[in-house]
Amino acid sequence: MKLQMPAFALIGLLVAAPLFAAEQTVKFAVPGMYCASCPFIVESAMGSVDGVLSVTADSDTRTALVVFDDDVVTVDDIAAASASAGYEATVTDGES
Amino acid sequence: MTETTKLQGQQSTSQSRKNRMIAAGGILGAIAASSCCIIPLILFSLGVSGAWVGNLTALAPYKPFFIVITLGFLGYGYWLVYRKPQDCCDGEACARPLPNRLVKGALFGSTLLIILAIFWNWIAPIIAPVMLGL
Repeated sequence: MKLQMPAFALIGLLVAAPLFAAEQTVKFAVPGMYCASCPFIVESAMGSVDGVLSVTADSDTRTALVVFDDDVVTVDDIAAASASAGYEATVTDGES
Repeated sequence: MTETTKLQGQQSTSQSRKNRMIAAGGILGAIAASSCCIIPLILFSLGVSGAWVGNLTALAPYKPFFIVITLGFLGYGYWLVYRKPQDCCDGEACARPLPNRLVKGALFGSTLLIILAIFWNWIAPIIAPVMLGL
């Protein structure tokens, strides 16, 4: 919880200074996500990574749209978090 | 006389063994049917996770097959326990032997599980966010 305050402050700073890279949106393909509860597990796994701001997983398209702060976390970290929960994720799309 | 009672004893033990086998089949089928979708969620919400969970989700295409098998086992199980007319012997008390509580429990348990598995697509969006605290 206490980590969130500096994280938010950092995000605020980054938004205020567009010279720095900040919020990014990446679409992951999660081919293993073909059951009703899978997207919730993927959302929870990816969302628990520091620096991830929001995750929207869709079991119909088997994709997860992740908004994250690329100063705090990398795409590989997010993919690894998902893979360690049992769902391999690969980037399909950069900015969208 | 002793011959017949011995024979009957054998019959009833083989009967109860059959009941147990059917109940065990029902449980295994129900677990198999829920393995792809319900079990990963339960494990994940308990903090148990790993790449091997992907193997469980890979069973999802076989789910209808598991459901049909389980329903077959359960149908036969319920019929054995509740419907099947018991053979009566002359001079014997014609009581239906009380079905094992274990067998009944197993039948009920797997019925519950299979119902969850069948309707999981509708139940999951309600239960999953609660379990995962989303």
